[in-house]
Amino acid sequence: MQPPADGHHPPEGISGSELRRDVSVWGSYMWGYAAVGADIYTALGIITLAALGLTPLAFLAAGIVFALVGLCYAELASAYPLAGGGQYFTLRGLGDLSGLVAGAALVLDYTIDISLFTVVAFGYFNYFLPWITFGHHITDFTTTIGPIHLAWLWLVESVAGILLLIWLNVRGIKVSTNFNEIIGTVAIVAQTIIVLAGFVLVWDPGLVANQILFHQPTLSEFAFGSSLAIIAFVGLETISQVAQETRRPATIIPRTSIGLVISVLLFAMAFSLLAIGMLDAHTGKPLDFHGHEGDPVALIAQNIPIIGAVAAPLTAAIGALIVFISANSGVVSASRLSYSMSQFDLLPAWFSKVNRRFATPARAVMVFGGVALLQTIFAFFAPGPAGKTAAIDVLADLYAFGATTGYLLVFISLFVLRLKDPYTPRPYKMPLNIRMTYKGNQVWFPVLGLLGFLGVLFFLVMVLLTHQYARIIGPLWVLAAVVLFAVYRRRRGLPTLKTLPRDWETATKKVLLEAEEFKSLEEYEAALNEHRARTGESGTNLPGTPR
Amino acid sequence: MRSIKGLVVATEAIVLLALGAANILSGQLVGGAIVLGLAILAAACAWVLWPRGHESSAAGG
Repeated sequence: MQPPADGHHPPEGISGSELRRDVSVWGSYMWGYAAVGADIYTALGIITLAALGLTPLAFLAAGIVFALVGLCYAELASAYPLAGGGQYFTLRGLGDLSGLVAGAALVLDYTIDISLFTVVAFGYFNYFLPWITFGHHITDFTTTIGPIHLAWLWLVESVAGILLLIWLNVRGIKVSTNFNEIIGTVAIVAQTIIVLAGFVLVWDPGLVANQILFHQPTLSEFAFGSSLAIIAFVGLETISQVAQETRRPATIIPRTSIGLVISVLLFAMAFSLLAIGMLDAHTGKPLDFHGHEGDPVALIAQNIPIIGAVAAPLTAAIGALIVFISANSGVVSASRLSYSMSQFDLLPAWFSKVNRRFATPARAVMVFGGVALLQTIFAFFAPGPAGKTAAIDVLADLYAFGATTGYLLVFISLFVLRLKDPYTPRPYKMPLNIRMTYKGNQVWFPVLGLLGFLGVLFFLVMVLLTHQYARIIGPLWVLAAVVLFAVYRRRRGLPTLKTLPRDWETATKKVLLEAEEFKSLEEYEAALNEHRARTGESGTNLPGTPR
Repeated sequence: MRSIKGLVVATEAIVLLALGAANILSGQLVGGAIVLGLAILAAACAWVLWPRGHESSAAGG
């Protein structure tokens, strides 16, 4: 990303020309996979401990909602191929204040992404700790202060990891798409080998049935576990974040989004079924993830006969790398999103100024990297049960709030944009639509979109009911963003509650032209001309459109 | 590199399909159905990841 050096805001809030369209179909897929593919390495242990024998059902419930979110993003990101993702769709559909709330929720998620994934990356790294320290495990480097069980070495590693990410991103040292692709491919190959070896050599369907019948969680535990499972699928935003840099986005984005949904769902379901359907090679009992919240996939790999001795350290190494890359994508996405928000006057322009020496959005990187640092320290100092750190539990608890809040607003925006902006061509539409007439226009109401909305709403309610940290910190974060927004708007003499006027028509034409989506551009102009000839109205009917 | 992903996941689909069929034939109906479900997901994934002819030259990342 190359934001303008002076933080100048173009009138319609779009500066597409700064972002070079250089991401191909595989590049787009691998950017998404780097963000979402790592989630299972993080989520498996904590979700299995929460949802017990019903872990695959928790993953399935979250996975179905994730698939609907994926289809919704595929439609919106291919219709509006701009950096900003969910925040941009919400801004365009619902106006400035809603766009701010969606953006703030998603930025919160990215900062937790940085914290959680760095902690888990070092969880996998610590798999090798006994080899370096002559038999000592990470739990040996823990200090107990009252109810706090501080894994101080893990904290030091995580803080160093986040500082490294901040330094890399301030200096502008990027993970190249080619490197991303190599690591992603290695991860897919390794995951496939573990899944196949696990199912062929050790998976026992009888044990799965036994776990489902006799190791059931309470309703509250299942609600907590399934709402945690949503974190196995967070990161889909990344594809829409790079939409503005994607070649032929109308063609590419739907395919990469659907590919990402299917591949992530495949590995999430396969690993969760393995997690409850195999025995520990040493104890002869079902796998116990206590103490393995930081390296759950390595635990599965080490209990597979024949390949376990090699697969486990290899999985730990790949896990550490892919999860750390995912943490890095949190830094990149947080700075991209805050840049987009400041372009639309949702955040002060201070956030979008670039460092003169390195030409990077250094301020945004340092602010949100700093927030991630504070969250990590807070999580390590949180009280928890004896014998383990509470850090992963606390960060995972927080993670689901931002995603569910952001996705909920994106679904509402989907409905509004279908009704109020039927002119923008949609190269991909969510399946199952009902034709209806709205203000003289023929529009299509998305039935699957409604189901996705209800699913996300259900998970948000579960988060608020069962996540003790998220239900307090999440709303407080959004409130703080609204206060900052109100103060900033007041200082600039701009309205707080009203949406600023924006020329969406010019913006859409400019984006389609830059994306070389000429057919879509022709369709857009034809639809607008037909609408104008029929109604005599001049503009599109969206928040902020000048009448 | 691009063709590897599709090939690997296609192999996964075939092995899971065989395993699911073996489970069903040995009387493990639920286990077989679960594995067949995974095989279908893997097949769909392989289909999406399979490189199309015109992309292999255009896709540079």
